[in-house]
Amino acid sequence: MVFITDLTLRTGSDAASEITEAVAAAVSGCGIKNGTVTVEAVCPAAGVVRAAGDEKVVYDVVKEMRRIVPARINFKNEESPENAAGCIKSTLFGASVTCVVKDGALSGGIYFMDYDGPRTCTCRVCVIGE
Amino acid sequence: MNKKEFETSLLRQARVTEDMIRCVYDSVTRQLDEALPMKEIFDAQKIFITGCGDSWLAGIACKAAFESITKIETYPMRAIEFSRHLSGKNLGYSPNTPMVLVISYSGEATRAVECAQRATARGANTIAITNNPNSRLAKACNHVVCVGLPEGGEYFPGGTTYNASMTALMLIAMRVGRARNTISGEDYEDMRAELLSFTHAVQEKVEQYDDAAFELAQKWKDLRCIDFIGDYSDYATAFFGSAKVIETYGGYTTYDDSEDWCHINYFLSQPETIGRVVITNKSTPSYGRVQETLAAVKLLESPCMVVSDAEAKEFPQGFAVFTTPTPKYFWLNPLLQHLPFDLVSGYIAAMKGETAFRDGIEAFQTPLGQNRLKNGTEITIV
Repeated sequence: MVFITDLTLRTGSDAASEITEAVAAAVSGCGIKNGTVTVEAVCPAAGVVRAAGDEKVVYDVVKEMRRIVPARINFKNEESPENAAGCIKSTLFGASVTCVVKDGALSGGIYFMDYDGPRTCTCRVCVIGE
Repeated sequence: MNKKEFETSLLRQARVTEDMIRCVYDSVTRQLDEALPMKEIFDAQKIFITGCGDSWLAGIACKAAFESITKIETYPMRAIEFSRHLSGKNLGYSPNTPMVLVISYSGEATRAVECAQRATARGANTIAITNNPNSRLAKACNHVVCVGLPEGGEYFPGGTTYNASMTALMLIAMRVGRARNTISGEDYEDMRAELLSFTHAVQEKVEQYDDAAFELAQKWKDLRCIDFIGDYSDYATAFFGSAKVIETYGGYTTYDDSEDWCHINYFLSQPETIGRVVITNKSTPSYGRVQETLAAVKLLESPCMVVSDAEAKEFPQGFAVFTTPTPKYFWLNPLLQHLPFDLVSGYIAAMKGETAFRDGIEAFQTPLGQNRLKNGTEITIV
């Protein structure tokens, strides 16, 4: 069985939004107990990551991403330095994650990363299983 | 009077406003990335906007857009001031700064060319905004943004060209703001869309303005003088309207902001023979002062026309109020608030049998007079 739904999020500027509960609600709503769920950022310069831990861990992740791919003015993509860096972060760190669903439950935290907000973004959730 | 017998160039221009702005929007959009490279956008510590006449006014009208969107200090400056009087220390003190936007529709206005040559020579980043990419101005600048108005259009006296300059400036402001991340990608797209939808909303009111303008022109055609009042961005609209009085029918006119009007023009004699045109918006910080000014105009018994996005009931009874749509972004207001008076001045000219820029009158057609814009002595002060 395959179930697909979209989540709509209002994001901040270069910020992580926890979407674990919203994804869990989508999983439980579709009735699939065992399988996988894939969560994907539909808009550009955004991604989805898994991060185990509290807010401090997520803070470190965001900060480290900025260190690895800082906004610069010499990218070929000249929409804006943040957008250009964001597109690279999305590629390097992933636009989607896949998690195991076991007995209708997920483990760990799922975060939507908007590298070029604030804006309204769509996050697609696809559950496959039985 | 039959309105159709008095149709004017300014009315015909007003009727195609939306099409012309769309044309400029598409043309400028295609050139933004090339004319405004990322590095140069980030180098800009200040922005100057200069040009002659309406071009300079476009800079005044768009100062609010630039400072609101880009957060960079922006200085509209008259061409003669920029080219001859401004201290050279203000130009090129750091690579590619300031960003200097030089506007000339023809690209051949000598003083505008001088501004560009001077700024380029000193190391500023110069961008020509023109309809002629092969002009002297274009050649004197580092980059060119061609506004892309169609060949052979009716642009005389200037209404469409003024719109083109402002549209180009606003799009450039958005591009700079987006690049510097002072606005988000979502805001950027929204502002661009709002520019078009605001234009559409005004276009839908043109016929309504036209009827009211024709009626007002019949009452105002014999007035001694037209006195314009507008603050900050609206000052550009006031000055532009004043210029139309002269260009279309050679009338007497004055302009000032609401504060200084209370100190100076208030005292003009025979106020009942002076038409007052007040441009204001409910979002402007000086709206209260403008209301006080309007109360004074009422006491003087001057005929009065108000152009505003506020409802007519907010103004004294008996004033001719032209209500404009309220844009989502306040800095869009000056883009088209000149249209109602453009129509009035066009009708007055037609009713008086006057020709634009005194065409056909020998005294105004001397070689010296005709050469005054494009062939003046060129000096580049570096």
